[in-house]
Amino acid sequence: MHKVLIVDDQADIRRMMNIALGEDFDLLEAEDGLTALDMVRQHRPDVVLLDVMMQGGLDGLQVLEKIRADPRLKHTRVILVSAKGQVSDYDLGMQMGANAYFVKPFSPLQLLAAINEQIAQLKIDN
Amino acid sequence: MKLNFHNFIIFIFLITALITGLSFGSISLAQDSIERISQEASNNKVNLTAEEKLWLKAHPEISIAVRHGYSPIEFVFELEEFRGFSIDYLKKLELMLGIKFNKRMANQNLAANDTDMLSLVTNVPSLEGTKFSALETPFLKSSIGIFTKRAAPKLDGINDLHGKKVAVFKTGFIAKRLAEDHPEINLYLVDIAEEALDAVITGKVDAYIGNTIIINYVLKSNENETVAFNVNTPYSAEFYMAVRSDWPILKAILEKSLRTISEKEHAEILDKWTKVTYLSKVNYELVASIIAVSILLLTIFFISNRRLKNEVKRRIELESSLIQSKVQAEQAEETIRRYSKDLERLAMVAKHTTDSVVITDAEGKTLWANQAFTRLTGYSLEEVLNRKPGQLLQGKETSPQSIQLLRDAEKSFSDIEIELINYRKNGEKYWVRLKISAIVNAYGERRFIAIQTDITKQVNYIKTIENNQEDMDALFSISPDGMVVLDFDHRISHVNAAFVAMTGLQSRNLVGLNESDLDTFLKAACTEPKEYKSINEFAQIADRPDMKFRYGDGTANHAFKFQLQYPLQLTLERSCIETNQKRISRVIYFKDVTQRAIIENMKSEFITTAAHELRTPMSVILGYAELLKMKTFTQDVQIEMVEAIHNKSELVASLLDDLLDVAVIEYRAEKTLKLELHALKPFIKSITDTFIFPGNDNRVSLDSIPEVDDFYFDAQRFERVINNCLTNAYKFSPANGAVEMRLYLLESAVPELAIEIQDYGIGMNPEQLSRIFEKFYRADRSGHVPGTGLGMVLVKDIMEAHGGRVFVESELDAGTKVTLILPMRTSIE
Repeated sequence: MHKVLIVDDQADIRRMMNIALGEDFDLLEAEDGLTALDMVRQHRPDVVLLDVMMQGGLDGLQVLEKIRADPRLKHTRVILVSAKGQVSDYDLGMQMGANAYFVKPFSPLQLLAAINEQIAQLKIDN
Repeated sequence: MKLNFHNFIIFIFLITALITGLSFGSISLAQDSIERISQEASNNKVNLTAEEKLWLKAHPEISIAVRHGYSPIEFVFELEEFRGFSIDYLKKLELMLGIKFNKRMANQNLAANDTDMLSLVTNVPSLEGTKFSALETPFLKSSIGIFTKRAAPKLDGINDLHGKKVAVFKTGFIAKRLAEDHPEINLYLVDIAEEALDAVITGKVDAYIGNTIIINYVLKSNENETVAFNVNTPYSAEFYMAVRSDWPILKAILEKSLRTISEKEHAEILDKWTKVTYLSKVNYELVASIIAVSILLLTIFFISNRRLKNEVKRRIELESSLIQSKVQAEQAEETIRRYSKDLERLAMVAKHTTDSVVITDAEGKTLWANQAFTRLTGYSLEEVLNRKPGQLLQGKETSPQSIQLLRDAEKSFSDIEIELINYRKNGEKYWVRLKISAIVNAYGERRFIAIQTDITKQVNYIKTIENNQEDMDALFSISPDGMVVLDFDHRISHVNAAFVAMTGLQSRNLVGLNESDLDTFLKAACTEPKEYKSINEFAQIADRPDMKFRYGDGTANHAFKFQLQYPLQLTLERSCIETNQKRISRVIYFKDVTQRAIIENMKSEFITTAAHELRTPMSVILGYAELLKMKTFTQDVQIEMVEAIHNKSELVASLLDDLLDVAVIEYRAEKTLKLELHALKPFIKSITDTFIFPGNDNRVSLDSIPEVDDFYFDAQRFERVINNCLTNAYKFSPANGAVEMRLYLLESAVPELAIEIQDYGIGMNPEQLSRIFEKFYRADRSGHVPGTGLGMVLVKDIMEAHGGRVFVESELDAGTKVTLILPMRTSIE
């Protein structure tokens, strides 16, 4: 099973993603940016679901920046899941190297499809 | 050269008049002093190293930016010559070093000058980060003095001004220092020296504190005898030159040179600019017109000065009865020689003058008139000789008051300047500015010199402007938007009341200035001066077709927004319209968009907050609903999902309530309250009995409820107030933290109920506490504790709408106490 890391500081959201995605993937969870970065480096998930506005430490975009700056993590696919829904937020996220962008509230089934798409892409790249 | 007697009389008369004219404005010895200083300076030897000498040889000309309007430190005389302290020092340096300073008018933004040097820097730190660095040795130091009415008692020092009102420059460092060192002094901030002097004279202030050299100069040049220096302050001001930072060698050379200048030389320059009134006080019009009488004669005089000198001497000897003494003639000649340069310039002016000149005797009967007089009036010299010009020129529309004034001046043998209607020989009416000077000539005879300037065109023009001005005033004064109108010459011709109210810039200080001056004023008042852009600068970045739009028959730029810091914090939106009209080239509009900016700011804050606060629970609701619909789960998970949906829906609903309430309360106030008589006890009981905070089993601990009569309040809204306070108390308390509620009565005209709600939770630091009533402010930014940041805003709004108050005390890690105070009104009007 492919590894997916869920990064969100809201337990409710992590739980909901867990219920939606638990059957299909090997799930990891982090509730803040620093933990997330550690887990990305340690567990090398295929896909990271990354919240943007998080308390303390690193926010989602900073985590993304660090992932993209680390050559060892170049295959990591990142999907931003953000409450920020303006075009400028989307553009910024994609510019910084996100592979997809979801705005809250989102459809968990579409998110599932997007993760699968990223994994398929990953296979082609390899 | 032959001089017939008639001409000679005029010539002598002219010289005498010239001296008289010049001495009207107590003559300076400027030219003379410069020469003296120059000669002495050349004797100075600066010890230069070989390298420095070589460098000077390689750089014989150095460009320098000189500022204007800093009299007497430096200024531009008659639009063509730099003068002042710094210029004299530059002259000295030129002689000492054998180089030449190419002076240029400085850009007001000193750092923007592309010259090698700046001649005057008063604020050295302002050069930091620019290409210039100031010399360490100031070329001039001035004390900061206290000026009072001459009649005022002598002060011992600055401490005597405590409790008094004192005028100072708004922008200078003195205002700052006084505010810090002597807060007991009431400062009266002014823009220009004249304003400060005026305030002293009218008694608006007790004293004026400022740069002694500059103020003395202003006093002298304004012939102000009322205000005088009283005593020095411990402060002083220094004036520096500055050099390109990448030329440290020149800096070293100049430092050395300035230090070489002797005390005596410094004193001479100081004397020159402090003891002497300036030449610009000369009555030019008079002098120019006298020259106009015989411009040719004078020109010849200057060319063949020497020959004429002998001629004069000979004549003087021969006609000794006409000239009182030979000494006087020599003095006259000496004066003329000294001022020959100035006179040459005046002669140039006179060439272009069309003013007519008439010389009369003490009874006003014409002795002489120039050709311009004939051109202007149509009367020849013969026709007007031995007659009063007024008898020929005045007519039925000439104001009798003006004629009376002229007669009075004639009787009292005094000067007069007056504007009146005259008539030409052919009956044509014209407006004239008549300037009559009463003088005594060399023989002790009384004479009048009358200069007439045709001002018909101006008068007509002013009349049209005045008519239009009235219309414009009426229109502009009612406009809520600030407006500045530029005339055909791109000068500010009109400023409306709204603009003055917005910017504090007075109309009288702006009219006649350029648009760039306006920009300078506004820029200085900006919160972020760097972000201010003039219309042209903005047009450059906004020079795209979509940034312009048509407006009437002109083109307008899109609005530029900037924030003023002073005198009011305002966000202004500037737009402008160019017109092709004759009198107006441009109208600049300023719209006060402060309120709009605040709302926009709030909106964007709300979008971010609402995004997080609403989108997060909505994600849970939408997510579970979709999953329940599309997939099957075990019963346990299903129950969990439905519960989550329910909880999050409740949260969203309460957030929406908050939002709506804020919106309603904003539109305010008591009108929206439903004030009804309620009993206190059951009301409080029902709240505390039903209030449950998820995750905390402790109920609100309530000691007792005072016995009071029913009173008026909006039960639904007041319940919301108490609920919000309780929710906060629980939200920021640890898992089993206690929350206490205490009620008691306050004695006052209308008895008041006080409700304290206290928790022992995480509390707030002073910064958090101070912002608690700000909209959307959340002490916890993490999003861990749900909320919109509207709860306490609502509490305050509802309490105030009831005529009540709210206080919050809090200590970090100790807890928070909210006190609500509600008037118990037993009747409503």
